[in-house]
Amino acid sequence: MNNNFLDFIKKDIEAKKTLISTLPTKTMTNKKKVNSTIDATKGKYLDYADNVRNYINAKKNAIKIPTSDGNLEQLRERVKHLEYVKSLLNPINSYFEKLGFDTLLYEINNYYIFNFHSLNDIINGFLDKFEQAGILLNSDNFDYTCYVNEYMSSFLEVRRSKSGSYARVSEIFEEIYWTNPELIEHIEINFRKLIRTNAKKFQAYIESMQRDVMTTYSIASYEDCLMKLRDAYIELNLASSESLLDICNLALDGAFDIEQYFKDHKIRIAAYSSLIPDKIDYNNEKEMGKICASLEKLKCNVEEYSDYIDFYALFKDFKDQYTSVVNSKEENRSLAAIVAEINKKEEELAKFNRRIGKSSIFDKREMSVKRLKAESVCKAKELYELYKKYDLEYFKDKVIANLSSTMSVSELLELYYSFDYFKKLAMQKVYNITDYNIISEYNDRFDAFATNPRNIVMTGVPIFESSDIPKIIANKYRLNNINLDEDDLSSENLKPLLNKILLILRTNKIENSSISLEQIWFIVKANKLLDGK
Amino acid sequence: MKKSEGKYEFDLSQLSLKELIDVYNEINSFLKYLDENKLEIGSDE
Repeated sequence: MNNNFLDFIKKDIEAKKTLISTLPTKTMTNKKKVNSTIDATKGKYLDYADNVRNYINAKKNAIKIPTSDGNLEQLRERVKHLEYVKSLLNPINSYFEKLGFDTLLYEINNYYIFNFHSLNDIINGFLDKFEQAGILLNSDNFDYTCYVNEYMSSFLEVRRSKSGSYARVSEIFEEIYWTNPELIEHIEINFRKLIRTNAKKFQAYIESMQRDVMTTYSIASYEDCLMKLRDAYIELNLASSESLLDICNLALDGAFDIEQYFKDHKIRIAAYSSLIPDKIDYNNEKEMGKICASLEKLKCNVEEYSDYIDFYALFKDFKDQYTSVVNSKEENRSLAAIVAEINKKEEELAKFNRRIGKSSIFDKREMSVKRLKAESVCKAKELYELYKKYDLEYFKDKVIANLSSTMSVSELLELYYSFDYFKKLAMQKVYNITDYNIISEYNDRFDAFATNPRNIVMTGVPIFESSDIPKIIANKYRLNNINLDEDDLSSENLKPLLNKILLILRTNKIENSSISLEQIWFIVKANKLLDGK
Repeated sequence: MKKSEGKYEFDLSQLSLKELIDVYNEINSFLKYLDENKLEIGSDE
């Protein structure tokens, strides 16, 4: 009895191949004989294949990968709630950003560039926020120009009816557009005026929300919230650190080649020998535990540094823009002057609009009314330009309030994160983006970087001074027994470095678990084979 | 793999995980070889 099926198969296949290759093939009878031998052999081997496949499947299913039974969902919810409280208590920005007006402003502001699917959604977004704060707007509030009033009266009617049918609103837009192509811009500044005139109500609304969430989540102050958030993140990070199941799924998805994780594979040998000093015994659990604890931290630092490189252009742009300001330490007086000018001009515009009265806006017989309307549009246009200036000065004002010669990247991340509108404008400019989806993608990546609780390097990287980050990181880890030089941290070497770190961390995790590397390799191979069938 | 009426009786549990995959690969590549070596039946020369 031959008990090793692999040996048998190898020998049998060899013998069958020899037999088939030596069979005569000259005549049709010969050929039929060859084919019948092949068919008989194939039948037998299909049978073998079925049996082996079933066995592999059973064997694969029998491997149980330990899973964490942690309360991940609960921890994620806690972090989400605390992030929300943090955003409400954020001392840097105002009710304007806290309510998300700046995000809507960015959208309506770039309506033409990004070709949004629905202007209605943006307008409804503004109206929703007013209603949230208990402010019910009516058509009289939209008096910037007679065209804004005409359009918004129709819009509000549809909104009140809840029919969702904006066909008539679109028709009115079409009619107005040829007389007043800047209609959307004027709707925008009408909203901005309304937001400003209702500032106290919005502020009171935010304060009541702040009180509510502080009571609900037992938060004493913004600082208290930051501390609780940090603790919540520590718990979450611990519970959500890469598990054996995650490693297995990554291998199944092809995120890395599990073959490279075997002890004798040259990639593994190279990873270990490049990062771990020779004196360390890889089999010593305690020593390797220390090394892996350092590598875990290094991994976070490398990911953080990689994010920094990704957004370096944004930081440099900020530096170029504000180096002269940080040195001059001048107070920004322009904002107040612009606000005064806007107020004055808006008053003039309101008076002007009252003169137009309630005549039909398409009444062509009334030439004087027509001229007044045209002048009203011109004034609105001037105001739109003033608002543009206001935006620049508003952000400059916020920047100056937080600016210092020692400002760190981490502080700048917080600043941009607090001012969505200006962050997106800066990205649009620096990366020359004209596609809304790309802006969204950059924005999401930036926000993930800005709120990453594992960031630590950025707290010490100054914006206005030069800093050799690779040197700082490499020096730190050399002290922790990790072989690392500045070259390893050059932008093109970051990905290979991360792969090496991950390889060591994962193999160490697997080798200290109840499951073997070979079992994970088997699951990956078996899945591939079984899927291929 | 056990075949009571057959000539051989194999116990797949004797194989390591790696050998199991090897067996499956050997069988499949041989099945491919068999398909490739089937002859076209024409008329007698």
